[in-house]
Order: sequence, then structure tokens, then C-alpha cells
Amino acid sequence: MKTFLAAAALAAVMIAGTAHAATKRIALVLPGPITDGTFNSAANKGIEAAKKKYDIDVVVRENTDFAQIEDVLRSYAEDGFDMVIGHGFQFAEPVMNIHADYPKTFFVVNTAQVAAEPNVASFDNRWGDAGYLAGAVAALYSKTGKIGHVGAIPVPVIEQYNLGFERGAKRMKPETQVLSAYVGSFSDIARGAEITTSQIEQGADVVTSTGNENVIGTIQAAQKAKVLAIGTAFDSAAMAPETIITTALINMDVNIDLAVGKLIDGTLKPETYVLGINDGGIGLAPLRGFESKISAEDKARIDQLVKDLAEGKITDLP
Amino acid sequence: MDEILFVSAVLAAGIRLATPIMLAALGETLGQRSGVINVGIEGIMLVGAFVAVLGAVETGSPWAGLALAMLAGAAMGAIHAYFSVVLKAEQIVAGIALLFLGIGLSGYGYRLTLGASGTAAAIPGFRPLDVLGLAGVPGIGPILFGQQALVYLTFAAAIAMAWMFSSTRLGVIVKAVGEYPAAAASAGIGVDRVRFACVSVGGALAGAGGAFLSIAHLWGFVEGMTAGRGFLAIACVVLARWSPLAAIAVALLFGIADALQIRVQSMMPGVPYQFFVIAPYLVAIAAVGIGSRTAMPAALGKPFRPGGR
Repeated sequence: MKTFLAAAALAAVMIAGTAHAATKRIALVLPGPITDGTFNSAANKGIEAAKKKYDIDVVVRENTDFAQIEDVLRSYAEDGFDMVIGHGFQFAEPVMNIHADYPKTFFVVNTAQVAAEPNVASFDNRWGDAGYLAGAVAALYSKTGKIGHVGAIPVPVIEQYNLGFERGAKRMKPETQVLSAYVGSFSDIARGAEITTSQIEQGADVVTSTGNENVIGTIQAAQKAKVLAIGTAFDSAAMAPETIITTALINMDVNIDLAVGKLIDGTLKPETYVLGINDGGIGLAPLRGFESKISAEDKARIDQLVKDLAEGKITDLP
Repeated sequence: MDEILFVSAVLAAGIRLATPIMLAALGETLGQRSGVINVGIEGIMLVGAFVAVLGAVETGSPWAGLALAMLAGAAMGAIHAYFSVVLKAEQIVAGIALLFLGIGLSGYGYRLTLGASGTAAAIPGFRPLDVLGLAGVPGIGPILFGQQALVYLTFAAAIAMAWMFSSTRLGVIVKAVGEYPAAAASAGIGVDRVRFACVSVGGALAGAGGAFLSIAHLWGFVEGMTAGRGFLAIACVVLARWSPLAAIAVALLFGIADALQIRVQSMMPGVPYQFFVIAPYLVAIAAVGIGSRTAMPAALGKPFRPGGR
């Protein structure tokens, strides 16, 4: 009996010990560079924050072409990583192709909606809701009644944002005219700027943009033409304080924090997690200096909209 | 009146979009006329774009940024020349290596210097000129008088290069080296030296093209911001049958088609956007017939080995 107890105690210590000492190894695979100031920077910031918060070892891989994805995922899985995060919807298909071969690795696809037993989960933000907020604010600040959205490439999340942008604007002012065009690239900031300029020439006086680096082009074009802009993803007011009214926040770092946290406490399930305003997945940055530029009544309408969104009272979300 | 303003806006934007391609195409024309293909021009443009931003931030002057970008471009060109002219390496392979070198150097350099913060620094860039105070004239003002200084310099460079090829001894030497290097060598011309110089100067022009993107058209560097313009420049050179003025024309046609598709896209939301995005490329291909009758330099891509093969 004594030996049994001792053995049991030893076993318990060993299990607790291994569970404790087993630092989780996580690979974050990015489609672009961590210096892009939006999509990839956000993921990198998320994993940097997670590194401080949890006991994890992290590898970040940048600039992964679509053709490389499957090999990259396999190499991390074969190397025994506990979790591989693919940042972008384009990771969904390669993950689905290979996940069954590596049951010991959890695959997470960010900004996509896929899931599969036993080891594929995805985290997505409600981009449509963010676009809805951006559109509503843009409509209230526009004097010409024309606003513009410049998307990088019409991938699903950007299309949702585009739809939300239009609906949010029409909710505030039904007569608002929404211009929309796509760059055809995530990194071509020159063309992004030219598209924005063309929308401004057509009368748009509040513009927004979604994608990666192309967003910088839109902000600069707005700055040069002295019209207003709404940032996406990051609170980017510091980039152009006179130009950027607010930012429709898409907190992709929250996705990563949640994924890592759930892996560590063992609650990560093979399902799709869609993060809205109540999960901190999206939000609206403060209006700062622009608060005084609209009537108190309009300001109240924005506050009410954010509240309605949180309470699920908006029915025409994309 | 609205139509005039629309056309004016399209042409002005078309010139802005075409300028980096024009500069790179001029540089490539010079190199190819001397017999050296450089497919790594995109990498040179990226280095130029990065160095221009760094130089402008460090010195506070966009002109210094431009000068440094051209120097860096010339250095990149010289690397290509060293491998393909001096070492007689396969030019396409050396060019591809140069492309990756440029992507890596510009990205890594940016992270080491300005990119550490993850957001763009304030950059003292070029502003569009207002020549003779006429930039505000509706219609032609924005096209002819309201462009960046670099745009006017680009057209001047094209004219100068065309004149060099048609009317100067230097032009004859470059053409001789590209057409029939053995004859040029027997006439006492240092074939490799001429090629080295042409590829280096071509690199400087491509560097200026990158600088236009990062400190004139926009103010800021992002990795991969040239987005394939270096390859378009090579296409322009071939479509223009190695004539500098025709290369400018093809690049301009591409820029204007791009500016047009951008506007039409916003006006016709029902049409799939891909249709518009490919339009400029279709126009560039359709331009094959345009240009002078100059044929491809006979010794293009062939290293010169004195005394036969």
C-alpha cells in the first residue's frame, strides 16, 4: 500500500511536472512582412503580447507565398509544434489538406471560417460590423454625401467590410452615395493612392481602405487632398491626426491571444470562433479632436449605434 | 466641361503611374542596347525606393534622397555588371539573384533603420511643381504644369538618350557593343567597360524610378512596394523595340490605361473588378505593333569573349 501511494504520488508529481515544464511551441505563419503596419503587424503584436503572458516558445515566419503554405505547415507540424497559426483565409485550404496527418498539432486559421475534427479551429473577426461602424461615421462626417472605400483584393472579409460600410452609411443617411473599388494588390500603395484620388475627384470627402500596405496609400491621398479618412484595423490616428477621424478597429491580436490561451488551458475546440464587438474582436477608436466637428446629436447617434451593435439590435449586418 | 476635367485627371494620374516604369524602362533600354539583359530591375527599384526614403529622412532633403537612391541603383547595376560582364555569368540567372538581393536588402535595411517602430516615419518628400503658376489651369494645367520635377526630368532623360543613340559617337559605341562586339573591340573599344558603364547607369535610372514611388508619388517605404513595375519596364523595352522614346510611350500608355480602369471601376460596380485590373496589361500587349523598327540588339544576352567563343 505504501509503495502504491508513493508510486501514485510520484506519478502525480511527474504528470504535474511535465504539464508544467512543457512549454508550448507555437508557429505563426504570415503571408506578408511584420512591418506592413496593418494585417501582419497586428498578428506579430498579438504573438509578442502572448509571449509575455504565457509560457510559450514562438517562431514567426513572414512572407509566405500561397504555393509555399502547405510545405511550411508540414515542416512545423513534423517538427512537433503544438500549434501552427496561419494568418489569413488562404491558409484554410492547405490546412484542411494536411491536418489529418498531424493529430498532435493544432492548426488555427486566422480571419477564416473553417473547422475540422480533431485539430482545426479558426478565428475570425466580424469585419462586416467594423465596416458598418466605419460607414456610419463616414456618412455623418461627409458634407458632399459621397464616401469611398478602397479594398485591396475582394477576399471574403474585405467584401463583408465593403457591404457593412455601405449599409452603415445608409442607416445614418439613406441618400449617401458609396464609391467602391479594388486595388488588385495588397502592397501596391501607389495604385491604392491613385484609386483614392479618383474617388476624391468624383466628390468623396471621407474615404476608408482595407487590406495591408495599400491602406497607407489611401491615407496619404486623403491627407494630400485635405479630405477625411477612417483607418482600419489599427488605431492609426497618429499616422495623420488631421485626416483620420477614427479607426474601425479589427483586433486581430485578440484572436491570437484567445487561440494561445485556449490551447494552454485545454479549452480549444475544433470550431470557428467569430469575434464581435463584445469579444473585443472589433471596435471603434475614440474620435479625439474630431468629436467637436459634428453636432452633439450626431455624436449621440454614433454612441447609440455602438451600443445597439453590442446589444445585437442591428438587423442588417452583413 | 466635366468630360474635359475627367480626361485631364486620367492623363495626370496616368503620368504619375507611368513615371517609375518609364525611368526603369529607360535604364533597361540602355543596358540592353549594350548587350546586357537585367531582369533584376525590380530589385534595384526596391533598393532605390528604400534608400531614397532613408536618405530623405536622414538629410532632410528629397534631392539628397534621390541622389543616394541613384547611387545605390548604380551600385546594384554594377553588381549585375560584375557577374554578367566581368565574370560572364548567365545574365538571366544573375538578374534573378539581383532581384532577390534587392528584395532582401530593402526589406532588411528598412527594418534595421526606419521600420523598427512598425509605422511610417515622417518623410520630407517631393511636392508637385506649379510651373509658371499654371498648374491650376483647368484641363491642361494638371497634366503639363502640375507634375513632379522628376516627371519632367524623366522626359528630358528619354529625349537625351534618343539623341545620344541617333546623333552621338557615344551612341554609336553603345550600339556597336550591343550589335557586334567583336567589330567594336577590333576598333579599339573596351567592350566590357562600355557594358559595365551602361548597366550601372541603367541601375541608377531604375533607382530613380524606385525613388519616385517612395518620395514623390507617395511618401514612405513598404516592402515590395514596386509591385511588379520592374518587370513591366522590361516588357516596355521589348514592346518598344529598344527605342527610348517608344519605351516612354508604351509605359505612358500603360499608366493611362491604369488610371482609366481605376476610375471606371468605381463607376461600374456591377462589373467584376478583375476585368478592370487586367485592362492596362491588355493595352500594353496590344501595343506590340507600336514603336520604331529597331530590331533586338544582336549580341543581347551574350557575354563578350575576345578571340571567339
